[in-house]
Amino acid sequence: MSNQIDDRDDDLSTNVVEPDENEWKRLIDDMKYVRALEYVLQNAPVRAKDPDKKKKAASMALSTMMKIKTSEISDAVNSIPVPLRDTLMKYVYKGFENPKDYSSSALLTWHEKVLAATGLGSIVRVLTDRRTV
Amino acid sequence: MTQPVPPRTSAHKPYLDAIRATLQAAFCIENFESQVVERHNKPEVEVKSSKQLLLNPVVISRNQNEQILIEGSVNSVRISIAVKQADDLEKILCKRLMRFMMQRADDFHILRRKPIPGYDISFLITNFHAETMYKHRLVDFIIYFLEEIDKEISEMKLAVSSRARMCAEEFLKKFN
Repeated sequence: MSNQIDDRDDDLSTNVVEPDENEWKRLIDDMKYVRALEYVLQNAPVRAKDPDKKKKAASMALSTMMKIKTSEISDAVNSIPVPLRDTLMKYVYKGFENPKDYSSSALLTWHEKVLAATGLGSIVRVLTDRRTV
Repeated sequence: MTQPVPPRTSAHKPYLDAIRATLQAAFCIENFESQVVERHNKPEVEVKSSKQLLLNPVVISRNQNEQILIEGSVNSVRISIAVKQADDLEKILCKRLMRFMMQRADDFHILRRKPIPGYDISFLITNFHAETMYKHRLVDFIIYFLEEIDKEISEMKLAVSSRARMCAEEFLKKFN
């Protein structure tokens, strides 16, 4: 029994959004890691139904997060605009699902810093939002 | 007032903090009767009768061997824990300890009789438990459980090896 309101996407223009790999690579090569992370979060495929698209975007986001040094994480979180911090938290939890590929201790630091910036609300939104990452 | 849970500083504080925050967020549960069968009240996280009633399941991992799965729903939360088992002896001890507890799940109230596949032990906390017990104390308990399990298993491992050493000593004294 599906809820028809959930199926109807109200913002059709952002339906086929996904981060462009070349653009992302360019930002990574320029060492602009925070800017690269912001780019991936901005274009995260939250409304996409294709799991491969999501996996690709997740690997981009998480590898960027791993590249940012532990001491720079809180500055990075503060420079990410507020609406994107929920998506950032979604990617943190996504990263926890693959402890082999992504360092759990770094992810725990990210979790702590994002929580400090956003509060429990971001976790509630991770748990309830249908637009999963 | 009941005895407060003693605070312990462990090296894994970020892990426990992340779990505490996630549990506090997931613990918004209230009474919700079954929409499928009249006069029935079932924990939706177990029955999964409707997608609208379930929250996204979330994993928090400390490393490859230790992780915790938190599945929420409108009237219940299921928490599954994968305990660190470094070698065969720890595996056996962990299995025995968990089985001991799970056989007495009725008295435990919040324990599930069978763990979710892939994990060692599972808790099922329903709105009825949250009505009779404080939510923040339930969260404290889960965190305390996580801290203590590792300590208990290593203590048992030491006890096993010291007992084995003493037995061997006594036995070999005969041949001295």
